[in-house]
Amino acid sequence: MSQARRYRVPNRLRAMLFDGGGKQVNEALADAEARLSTLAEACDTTVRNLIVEIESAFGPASRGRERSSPRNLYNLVARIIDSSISQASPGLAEICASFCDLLDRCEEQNRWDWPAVDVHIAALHLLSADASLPAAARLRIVSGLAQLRQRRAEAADSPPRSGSS
Amino acid sequence: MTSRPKMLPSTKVNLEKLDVMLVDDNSQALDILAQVVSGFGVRSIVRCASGDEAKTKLLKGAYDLVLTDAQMPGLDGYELASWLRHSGPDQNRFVPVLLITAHTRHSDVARARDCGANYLIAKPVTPKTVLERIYWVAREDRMFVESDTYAGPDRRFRREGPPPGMTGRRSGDLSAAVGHAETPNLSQDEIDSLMKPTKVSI
Repeated sequence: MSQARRYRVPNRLRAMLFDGGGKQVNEALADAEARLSTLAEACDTTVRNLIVEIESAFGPASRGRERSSPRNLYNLVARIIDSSISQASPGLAEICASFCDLLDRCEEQNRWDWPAVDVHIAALHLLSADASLPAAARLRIVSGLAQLRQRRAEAADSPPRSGSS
Repeated sequence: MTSRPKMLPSTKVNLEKLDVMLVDDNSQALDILAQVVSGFGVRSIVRCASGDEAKTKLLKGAYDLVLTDAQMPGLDGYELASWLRHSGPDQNRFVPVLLITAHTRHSDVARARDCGANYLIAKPVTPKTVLERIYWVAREDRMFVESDTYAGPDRRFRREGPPPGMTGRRSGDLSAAVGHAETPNLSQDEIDSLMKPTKVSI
């Protein structure tokens, strides 16, 4: 059984952060947002390219997609989250998070769930392609995907019915 | 959480003198982090494309803050934080570590808590989330805990108790059930000194 030692360590951050100089929080946040906006175009391009790559390698029309691992698709989707800074496509990161959850389950069960994968790919395509899609519609898509994942997970956990394919 | 120190828009923060290390195998994610902390006023930023590169640099220089991606090939962010806490160089052993992850599985959150990181940030990164965590680390007064299995900031700080759904008992804690006494009974003097009955005038 381990014996825990507890002790205080000097908080260098505190000493520096509150030494009187610097800028106000709202100013620091505005400056950071302004600097981030210089990357928006490059990030949007990366996201678009990743979606094209996903559709090409894992979309319904792609050949031999079942031979790939869910981890490969997971990594591509996670890279979209990495680059999702622009407000041009609200909801995109949430769809990716839902997609990652789904792919985690596929990996755990060592079985693709292609109908759910296809719906997520379609949702990614829709949200990135149509910037005019209203926020309420985006929200409905995100919550619809959550319901779909829930249903698919429950179906996967329940024992197979005789005669089902 | 309501008990965290609140960061007000008018609060002044000075990050100009901070030496910050950023670690991510995705160069665009590194760019994003660099722009965020530059906007806060940080001037000294060291970028690392892998956990191994970060480890090499942490052995040489001193840093005030490490922001690292959690999932990376080779040495990942969890392992980097754990290495720092258990066997990192003296100048960086207690450095605040903010882990960043694209996908927050429950197991990832538990792993981040147990590797000695101060906070876990979910991507996409926003300036507010990052600055808020930096502010929390600077404001809070967490003890550092060291045991065979864990080294890092106290995971049960501010007497908030264990997280929901966790039993929260340390391996060295007494059993919750009251059993036979394992130490001698207190003497009357000891009991009296604890009770301290005093006369009061009403």
